[in-house]
Amino acid sequence: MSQTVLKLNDIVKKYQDGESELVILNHINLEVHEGEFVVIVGPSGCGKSTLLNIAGMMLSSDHGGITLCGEKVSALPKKKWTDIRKENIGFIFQNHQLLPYLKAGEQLTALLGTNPQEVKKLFKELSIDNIIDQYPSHLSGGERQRVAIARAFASNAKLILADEPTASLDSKRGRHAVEMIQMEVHKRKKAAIMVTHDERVLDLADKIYRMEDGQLTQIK
Amino acid sequence: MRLAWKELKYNWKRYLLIEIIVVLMMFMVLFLSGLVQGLGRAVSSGVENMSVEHFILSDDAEKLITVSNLTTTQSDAVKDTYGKKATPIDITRMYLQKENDDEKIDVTYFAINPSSYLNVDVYKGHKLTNKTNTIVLDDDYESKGIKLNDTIKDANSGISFKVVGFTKDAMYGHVSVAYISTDNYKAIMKEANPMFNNTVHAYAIKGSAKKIIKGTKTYTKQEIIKSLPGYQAEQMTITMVEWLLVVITAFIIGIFFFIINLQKEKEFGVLKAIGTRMSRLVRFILSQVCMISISGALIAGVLVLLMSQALPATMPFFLVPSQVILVLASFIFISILGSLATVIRVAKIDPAKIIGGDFE
Repeated sequence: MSQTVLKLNDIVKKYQDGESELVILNHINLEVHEGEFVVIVGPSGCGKSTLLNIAGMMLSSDHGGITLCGEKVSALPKKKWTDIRKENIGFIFQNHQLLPYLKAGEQLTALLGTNPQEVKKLFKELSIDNIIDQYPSHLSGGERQRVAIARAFASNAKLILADEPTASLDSKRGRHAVEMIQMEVHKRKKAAIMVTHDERVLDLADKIYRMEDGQLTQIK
Repeated sequence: MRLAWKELKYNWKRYLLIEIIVVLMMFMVLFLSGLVQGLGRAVSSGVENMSVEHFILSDDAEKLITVSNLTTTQSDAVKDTYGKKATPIDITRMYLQKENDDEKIDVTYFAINPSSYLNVDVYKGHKLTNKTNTIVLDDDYESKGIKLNDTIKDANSGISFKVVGFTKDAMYGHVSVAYISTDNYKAIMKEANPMFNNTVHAYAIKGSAKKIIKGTKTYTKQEIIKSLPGYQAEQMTITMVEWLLVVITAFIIGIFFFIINLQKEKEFGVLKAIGTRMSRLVRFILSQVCMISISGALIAGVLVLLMSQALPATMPFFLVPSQVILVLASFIFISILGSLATVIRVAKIDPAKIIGGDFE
């Protein structure tokens, strides 16, 4: 039995919407294991991003707990959250979000302190080792997103969170990017949650959840 | 630090613009600083250059050496009290004339004892001696066409002097100084006013003040300088303009910096999301401000230094290193203070916005 990396336990998140209260996440439970690639699909505004923010220790929930690598992180003070993100979570955002003033390799070395050998190895795996000394503005959309994927996998983080990583890519490149994520997740025994509304990449997932009206239902 | 430098390098056009503004403004500030010191020196350098600590004036003189008048009795009392540590000084505004020229040139006579510590160094000719009718002039007169060994004449008494030396940086109340011996001074005064009875304006004292002689007051050199007519008013006005400019310049880079960093909100959001501590972001911001302001200050300093070499001697411009350092250091300090607005702004950025594309 592989280890549980992330456990969301009975998560509730409400927003004040004018007079009424909007329940975005309605008692969500989710477990993600080592080497498991979980995809969450659903229409926009269904609470996928909120769930990712809560799992990513950037937003607090109104109820429920988060256990990350066996540690109950939701109980820790907010001041510690930045360090938890740095040490335990790798993020892949929409539109890559690379820093324009760092070369591809420096996105890892200068920012995260990854050693250059490790960066080279990672870039080779993602077949982008030829662009290691290029600025993001000189890269194609697919290359940028792969650098962003490399950044997420560069640390020792056990959990990878991906927010619509295919949003700015055409279907071929989008699929390729997701294949890369899947490959790294399996190879490096990470746990990954990807939020997307791109149904064409669902076959790459180990588990698929659909999110609707604040509820998660497993469909694979 | 490394990150900060990489960002500056990448967006160098943007930051170069700020840098140019900083350099120009600081140059202006330092230039004003040189002027304020120069003007101050034009009023006071004659007195400032004297290596004495105190002056004894008559008690009704309002700290003005030119107005003071010590009686022979008081003079003797001063000499008794201070011995070799007191020497007489007379300061009088008069006119000089070149030989065969009717034009009157303003002069401030400093009448001193040539063998005392008030005698000045010369860069041309030789120092003032007890020899009758010799005179040492400020270099300003040289630029007015008077040469070494020329004969010039006191306009009032008609007594002629031979120019034996030129000294630098001797001004009193915006008028250049001419050094003559006390004996020559008395001769001039007697020629102009037969009733002149050998009184002395003041005594310049080396070392600390001793007991007060009746009818006199003892002042520090700084008190005497501050009371020179026009000195305080000029200094205050220009100094105020100078400091106002320092603050304004610092604010300008603070504002520029704030705006530039507003455009980077998304980048800061990403940095925070991937777990960059606020302390690192603060270092990032502060090191950028420091790099811009320190390099700007240094460049401006060098430019002013170069310019001061090129300025003509008649221009009242005088750079005091301690003053320059004070101005530049305060500028850097205020710039850093101004960047705190940016720090606060960045601290408020919510990394959660990056997921879900709220920054788009």
